Amino acid sequence: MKAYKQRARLWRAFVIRLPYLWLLLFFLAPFLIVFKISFADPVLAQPPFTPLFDWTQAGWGVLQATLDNYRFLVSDNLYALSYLKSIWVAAISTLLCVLLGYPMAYGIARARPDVRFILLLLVILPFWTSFLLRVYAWMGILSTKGLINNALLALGVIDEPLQILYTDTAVFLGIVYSYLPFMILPLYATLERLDIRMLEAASDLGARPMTVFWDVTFPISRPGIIAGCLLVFIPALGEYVIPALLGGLDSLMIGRQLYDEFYANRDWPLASAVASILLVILVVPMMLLSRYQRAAA
Amino acid sequence: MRPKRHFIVMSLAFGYAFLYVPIFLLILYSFNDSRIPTIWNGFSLRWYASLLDNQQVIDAALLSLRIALVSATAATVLGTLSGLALAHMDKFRGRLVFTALIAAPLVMPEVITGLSLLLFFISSEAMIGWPAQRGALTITIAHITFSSAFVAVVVQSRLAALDRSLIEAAMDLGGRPFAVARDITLPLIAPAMLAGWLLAFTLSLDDLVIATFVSGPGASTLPMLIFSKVRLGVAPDVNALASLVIVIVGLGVLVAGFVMRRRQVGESHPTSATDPPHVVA
Amino acid sequence: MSVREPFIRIQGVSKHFGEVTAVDDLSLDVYQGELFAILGGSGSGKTTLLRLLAGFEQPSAGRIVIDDVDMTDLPAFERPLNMMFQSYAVFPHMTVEGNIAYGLKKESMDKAEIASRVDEMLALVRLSDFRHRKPHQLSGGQLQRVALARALIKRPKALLLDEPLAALDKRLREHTQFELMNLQDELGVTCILVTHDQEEAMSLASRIGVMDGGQIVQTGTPTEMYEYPESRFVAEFFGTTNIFEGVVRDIGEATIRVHTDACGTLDLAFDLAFDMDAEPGITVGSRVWIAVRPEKISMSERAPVGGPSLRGQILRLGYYGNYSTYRVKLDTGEVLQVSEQNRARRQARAHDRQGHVYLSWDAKSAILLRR
Repeated sequence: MKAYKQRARLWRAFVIRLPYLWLLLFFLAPFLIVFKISFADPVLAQPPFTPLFDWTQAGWGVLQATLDNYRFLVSDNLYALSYLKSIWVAAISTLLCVLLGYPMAYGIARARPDVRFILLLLVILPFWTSFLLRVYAWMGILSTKGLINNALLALGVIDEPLQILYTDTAVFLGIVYSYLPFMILPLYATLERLDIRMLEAASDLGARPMTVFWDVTFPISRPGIIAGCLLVFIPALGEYVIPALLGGLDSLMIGRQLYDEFYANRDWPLASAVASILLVILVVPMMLLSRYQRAAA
Repeated sequence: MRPKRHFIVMSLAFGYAFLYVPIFLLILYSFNDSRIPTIWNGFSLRWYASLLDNQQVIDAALLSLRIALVSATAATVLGTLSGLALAHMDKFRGRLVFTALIAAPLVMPEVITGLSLLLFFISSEAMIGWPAQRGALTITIAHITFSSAFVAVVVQSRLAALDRSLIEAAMDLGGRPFAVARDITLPLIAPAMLAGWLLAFTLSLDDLVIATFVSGPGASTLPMLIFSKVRLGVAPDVNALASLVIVIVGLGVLVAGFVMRRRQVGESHPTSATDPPHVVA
Repeated sequence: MSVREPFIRIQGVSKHFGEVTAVDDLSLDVYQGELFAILGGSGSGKTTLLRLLAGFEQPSAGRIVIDDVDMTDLPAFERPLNMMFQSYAVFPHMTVEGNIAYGLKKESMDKAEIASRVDEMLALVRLSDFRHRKPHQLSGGQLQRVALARALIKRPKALLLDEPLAALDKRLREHTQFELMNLQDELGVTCILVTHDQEEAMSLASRIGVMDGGQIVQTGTPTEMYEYPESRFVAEFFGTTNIFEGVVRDIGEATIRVHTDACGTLDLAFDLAFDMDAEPGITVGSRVWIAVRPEKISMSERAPVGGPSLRGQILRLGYYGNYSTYRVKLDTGEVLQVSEQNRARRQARAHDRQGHVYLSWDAKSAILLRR
């Protein structure tokens, strides 16, 4: 009689535990290791760091922690500048995404249903195609011998080719280009649900079109704006590919610093410390995101 | 209202041009005969032909496809289970942590995920000797981990939109839990699972940063190969390769989009009084 | 036919969800062939009770016995009860036929037998021509008939109906209501339905139980519930009623005298259903309430001779074609609702808003309530 209950319990345990254990093992545990290694000393060995626990004969782990990595990060303002620069670049790119994405999302939400579907599909499409290749496409456009410079030279607007590739401008362009769909989709989701009758009610009550927008449309779409901004800001902050391909050698984005610290300098504990701080910076936006995504969904 | 409408139409035109002109230019210049990629020198298929001779590219593409197939399938299994757990199992110990573990990979910067997984694999190798070497296996594990989170979200939103009394009705009619899962739940979430699989597949094909971190000597995926080629500038054969990839994936997504649209239109008549029309991501 | 032995017995059943008690030590008997309606507002626990019966929830305490078999520990898929869901829950990926056959297929019944039972059921709910359709090609009324056929095909010992008419529009409701009653008559299946709509309950059910706060506060036939409510809650749940508070002044042979602030001193006559033995505890000085239905009040321009009456002024009237309602403010300040059939076609209004009107009612029509 109770066999089905036992089977149900087993199934339930399986459904929950298999993915749970997987994520604990391959997602959470690695973070703890990063955190741990950020307190270790670098040594020239394989792996190039001292173990945080030394197993003594008594079986007790002796904690060998050092704050040297964090001290170094604070003392060398290269890192502080990198963090600030990353936040700055991510923030400006996010702002640009809102400015371009909001009117687009609004237009899509107000389009006829069949047109709307195609417009929406065209926003989603780039998201499915290769990120790397889309960033790469800009290299050919922006380079000194690229299409923009060729066109401007041919038109006689400029005499000398402009240096656009390998500058911050190129990084901004690349980020906005890559993450624009992340801004448009949550915005669209909130704007699409906006009841047109509410706007009519507002204008019926005497509001002019711009007032209707600021009094009704904008506040209602706020969860979408916030979710979209976080969806752009968070990955942009740790972005590696875009500054690596489009940015200059001096573009001090933290994702690139981390990568270089790890591969060029082989200072794993320092790279771990860089990652840990980046993660701490991201905790608040990530928690905000999960709250607003629920609100926007 | 007039100027505002104008502004919106202009924004849409500019936005879509911004999104698509670079891609079209890339495809156009992949047919350029010139060795200097940005100077048009006449139509040619030579860069496409050269791809076929490039064993390195073919190997990398095959490796990427293999990893994508395996990781997308495993991620769909894991992600579907996660979606079920989140949507249908209201209370269990550690649910909050589980929810966070599903949400985090979606937004985690790739450098952090990549670095942490690499250090994890190295530590694990030092401690228990596994994995003996890094390569296709470690990349696959990494891809399963983050794409299963994406699948979970897609499946969960489908499950959340399902009328739960469908499942109760099946039980009420004598369906035992396993039969109900097979007869009702599975067919109803199958489209979401398919969408999740496709998402996981493209995410895996596309990933550069995490693969670079967790890969070992000798295992080079297609994005890794492309990245190493273009780091120093534009390369004409990469144009051809990029065009191929973009056109194939793009067509696939367009077809899938229209097929799902038609299914959705067919089902959007209320199937039951409280079942809202579902949205597939 | 009706054996007066309870067919479904709910014995002291409670259900707690954490801190919340949805069903509180509830006992109820339902007889074979009955169409029993559980009526309650949202949060009254009626849906939980239905889900406990179906087996989707396990009771925290108590037993559920059906046809002398204890069902308490049986899961939903082993209970001989079937349910028609409020949302109908018709499987969207199966045809009409597939939906109706589902329950029999789970019994591993012989294919030919399934086919003939499905045919029979399709004919019964008039869906034979739609057997190969998918649910999204059906109207709301047709979906409901699929849900009904699907629940009936297993010949359950009882059919559970969750707000069966709620999702239908007004015109379809009336039609469906009669169809349901005919079907129930024809098949003789015991039905328990849950609803928040007193009209639905009164028009469909042979007996009604009103639920409040996880308990059944009164059971009875629709007439009993309307004419002889036992509490203010039930009196107000069924239709409109005027209620005023008072104190018992005198208890006589056939009448009881109550003083109210609203209407002065009123006499109530005992009748068959209201006898003092059933109402112990009423003594001189008890606090009671008096309920009078609007249609039981008669209204005239002149004070009726030979009987008490209350003088007032019409505040407002509502015309509904077949009847009108009036709000009358008494000289004491109390406002009463009165309704009157519009028996004759009249040019002028039946009652004047300017002058006074006099209200009176039969002493047997007023209801005395202890709670």
